[in-house]
Amino acid sequence: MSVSHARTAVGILFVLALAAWPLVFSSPFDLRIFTLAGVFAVMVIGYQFIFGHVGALALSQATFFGLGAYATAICAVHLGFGFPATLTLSVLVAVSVALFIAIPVLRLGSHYFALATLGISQIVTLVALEWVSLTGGGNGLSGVPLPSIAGLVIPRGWPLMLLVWSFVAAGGFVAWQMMRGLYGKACHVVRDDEVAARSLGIDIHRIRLTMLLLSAAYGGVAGALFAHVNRIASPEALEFKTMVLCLTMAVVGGRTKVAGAIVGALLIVHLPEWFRFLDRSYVMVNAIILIGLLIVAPEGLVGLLDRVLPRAPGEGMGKTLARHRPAMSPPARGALLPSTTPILEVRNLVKRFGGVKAIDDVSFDLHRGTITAVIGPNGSGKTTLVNCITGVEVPDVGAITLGGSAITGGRPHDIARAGIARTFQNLRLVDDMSVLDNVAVARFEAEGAGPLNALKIGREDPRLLRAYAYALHLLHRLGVEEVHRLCGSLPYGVKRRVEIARALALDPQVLLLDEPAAGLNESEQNDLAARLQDLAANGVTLLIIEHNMPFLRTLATYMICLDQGRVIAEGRPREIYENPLVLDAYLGRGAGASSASSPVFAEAGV
Amino acid sequence: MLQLSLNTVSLGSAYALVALGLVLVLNATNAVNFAHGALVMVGSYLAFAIAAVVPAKGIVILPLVLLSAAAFGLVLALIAYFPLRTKPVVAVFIATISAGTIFENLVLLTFGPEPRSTPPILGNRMLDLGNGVAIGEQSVAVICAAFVLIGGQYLLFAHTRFGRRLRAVAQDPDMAAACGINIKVMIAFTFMLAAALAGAAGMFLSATYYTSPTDGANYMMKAYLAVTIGGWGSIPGTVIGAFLVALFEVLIPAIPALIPGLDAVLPTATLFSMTSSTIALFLTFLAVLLLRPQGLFGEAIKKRA
Amino acid sequence: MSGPSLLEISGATVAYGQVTALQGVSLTVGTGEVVALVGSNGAGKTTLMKAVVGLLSLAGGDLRLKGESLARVATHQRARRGVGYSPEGRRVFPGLSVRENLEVASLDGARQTADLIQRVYSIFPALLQKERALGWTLSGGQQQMLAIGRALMLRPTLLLLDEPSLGLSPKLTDEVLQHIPKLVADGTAVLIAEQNMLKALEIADRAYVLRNGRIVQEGPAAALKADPSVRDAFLGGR
Repeated sequence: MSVSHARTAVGILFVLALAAWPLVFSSPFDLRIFTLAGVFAVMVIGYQFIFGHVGALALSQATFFGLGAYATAICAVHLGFGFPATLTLSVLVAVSVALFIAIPVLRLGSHYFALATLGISQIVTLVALEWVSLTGGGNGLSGVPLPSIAGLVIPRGWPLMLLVWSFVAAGGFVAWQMMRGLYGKACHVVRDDEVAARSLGIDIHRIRLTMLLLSAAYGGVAGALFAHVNRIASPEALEFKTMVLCLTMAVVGGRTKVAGAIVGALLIVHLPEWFRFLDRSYVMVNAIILIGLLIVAPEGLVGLLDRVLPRAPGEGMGKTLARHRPAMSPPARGALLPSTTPILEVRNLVKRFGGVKAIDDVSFDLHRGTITAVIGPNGSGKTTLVNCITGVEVPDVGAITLGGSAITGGRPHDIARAGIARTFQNLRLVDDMSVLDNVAVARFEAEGAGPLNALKIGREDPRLLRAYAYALHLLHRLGVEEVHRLCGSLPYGVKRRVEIARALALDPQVLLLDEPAAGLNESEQNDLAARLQDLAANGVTLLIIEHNMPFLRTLATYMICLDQGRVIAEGRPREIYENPLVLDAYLGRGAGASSASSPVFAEAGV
Repeated sequence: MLQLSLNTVSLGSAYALVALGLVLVLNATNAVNFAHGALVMVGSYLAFAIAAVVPAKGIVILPLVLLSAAAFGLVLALIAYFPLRTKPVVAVFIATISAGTIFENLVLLTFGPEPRSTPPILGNRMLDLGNGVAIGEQSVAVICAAFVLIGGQYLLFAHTRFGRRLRAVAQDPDMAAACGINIKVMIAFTFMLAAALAGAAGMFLSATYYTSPTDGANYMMKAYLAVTIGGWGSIPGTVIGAFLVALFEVLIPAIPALIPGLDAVLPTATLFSMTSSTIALFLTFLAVLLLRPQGLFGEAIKKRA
Repeated sequence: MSGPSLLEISGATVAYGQVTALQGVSLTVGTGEVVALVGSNGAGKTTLMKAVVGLLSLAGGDLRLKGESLARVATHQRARRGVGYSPEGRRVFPGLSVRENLEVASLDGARQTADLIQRVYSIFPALLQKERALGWTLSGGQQQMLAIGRALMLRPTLLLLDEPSLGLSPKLTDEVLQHIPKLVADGTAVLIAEQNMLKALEIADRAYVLRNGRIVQEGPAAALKADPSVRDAFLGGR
């Protein structure tokens, strides 16, 4: 039996076991516990959006959950609303609080984000405890009726259990559908590498906000169900203990898979029941088992399955891709139009770090289809220059225009969308994604992938398929064949080319390459140089930051030499090689006098 | 007024001990130790248990508390950190929460749920400074003891080779090992040191405020706040953060007493309760983050995971 | 080959997950020798270095230092037995001063440590001027010197240098590499991994050529430098 069959078998077994569970353990008490597990599963599926898919450690899921419970309880007890109305209100309350939270905390770094969300949870909990008239204070608000839909009351036992689990099924389906296309891949990049995501035109704050709101909506639904199942809304639902429960379910089950949320919820809800006979020490046994599970399966129980039965590379994609191979190359933007106006203009750029000027009054122009190299010794400001152009750093003084419109100080993803793509000195590819996915994700903006259209993708996401076709073409052009392999397992030189393909998938007007030859041997360098020349001939403007003179020898049409943040020379490569200032900067003071015998330039063949 | 500021400083010093322990482990392992609050609570009960056997002043018991709390730190490292070292950070996060639960229930099973108090360091007298001004002996003793412990910790890290090696392990464990440093021993020691500081804080705090087995979470929250306000990894920032947390806790409930006549204008009982001081603390913290997303004292070392 | 083998690697295999990074690599480094490990990035040079230091464990084969197997010896114990390591990317301790960086790597008492630090300063005078500066504030070249100096604090019998030229301008590379013959004169054997093949072969006695995790060629440095097949594969021969 092949691995893919084994995976299918495990999936079918899982669904069967899930369906059989309430049939086997069918006492009213068992049904209640199973129903409760369903409630938590909905909460955890929601939590996976923010915690799993974009990797932000939010500690506010219990707050959304508790708010949902209180909203339902208050509306049902005080106002007598029916289930559809209370459910809607629960979701609205949770989502609006999430929106409010998002304003201050969404931009924070990981630990600040965690504590800020925890802080807000504490505030909400304290308010719920103190506002006795509305919430019943520490005792909670009891007497929540069973859910009623159009006057029909859903009784306890099987009907209530089925209601809850139908929410699990619907919520799980929506989550799965939303995350399996191009949008989900973009989330994966956001989780793995924010800088790379921004450079691909992905607005990470927007994605994070969407994920937080989705988490909150699911939390609200779960809270509403919780109030009906327990017949009470109490402060415990809001407390950190509930948050820990949710986090534990997500980690033990698995962080990104719907099945993980269900497995985690079932296990964590049942563990205390299984060890109830241990009387007072059951909590400790419970905790010890948890630590054990973490050691055995740190990626979660469902993640463990991926380790035991790894998905075959490119499984099931062969046929689909064959249908979508593009017949012709995607057109380059405004390719081959001769032009004397520069495509990128940099004027009087200054960037200070503390008292040091990393960039000091730098100006230059790039013309379409040219290959310009920026050289200079270590610490001369080359990478800072790239960071200023791509919006990673905001210059203190100066202007940068692309095709005539100013981009100075723009946000990185806006600059990427405007048409400047880049690669990174230390490679920023997502190692646990396939080569094809890594490149395809750069089509996120061009394909207009979003959470809503991700919902209605049908059998296969048409945006993802178009992105794959585009990516395949570029990978082919750069000579990368093993497109289904995980990026992490590729040799260095291939990774370099994958990163360039990814940058090209943005269909950029200007491509910035930060030390593209680093780590390549000479034959790889020659191959890369030829491919870059081919790109330039097709109208892409290249700016290359490099140390490596032999690599640039035949490649660059224009050179700019930086030293201590200033342009000390610019011109055609031959002029630069003979410029005494450049020789001094590279070889030490006075080297300019005896340049003829210098080994570096001898090697460079000048 | 003097007593009030003394209380603030004394509470702040105790919190600083707690928060420092959190930061030490954070820097050495890159993981937030969520059992740290429970270690404070364990320290209180250790002091309580030792005092039952050795009826002496706190100052005599303190070394025993430090040592026995350190042992708990070692246990924590062995069950919740070392088995998960190479696993994702969140796994350690949850494992330490679980370890905290284990400690909490151990104490609950041994001592029951009643809050306990520990002997004061020297005594509980009021020291009369003349002119009708008196200050609590315990407050002064806590400040001095915390000062000695924090100072000792600073000297250890800044001026001994052992301390520099601890810092090297915190900054790059693999390279530290390649320099001949046994990093497992160093990390275990860091956990022990952190637990000892937490234990001392537990003993100091419960002499005045009593401690019950479930108080760990509360201490954890305070320490987490102090560390975050302080800039996540910065030791001086953390101490200042701890004092700010204490300031809110002492000062806000004291406002009605400080401004006579305020009761007439405002519903002071609800406005200046412990609850509202906690809310105010969190709101201030959020405001600080809005203005300075990197914490009040910046990031000590860039790129913490 | 000069003298008995200090380091003897036989059939070393290392795997990351399912990807094999080293496949049955055997090599020796004799006392007082400079041995170069050349090959493109991804060929397995850094993997081999890390396996010798103990930061990666062997899936097969053996490592012997002075005849004793290192397979079950922890990283810090290997350092104490005389394996000094200057890693790829330098990795100086960013929050420690130059002096502290050197000090933490010493295994000796205070007095001898001070002497050793002076010796490092005499080799790299630039470090003395920056004695109190924190590691992260140094320039790339200074960090490289500090990384090598730190490895020397162990008084190593075997010094591993991984890509000492990476990220350095040609001028700085020469500046750093020129110190290596001095170190060997003091009795330290050097294993240097470089993708800057010409530079590495200039200072080495012998060399091994790695490709895709296997040794494809070995011999005296001068011979490899002249060998057209090596040049073709790795120098992009024209």
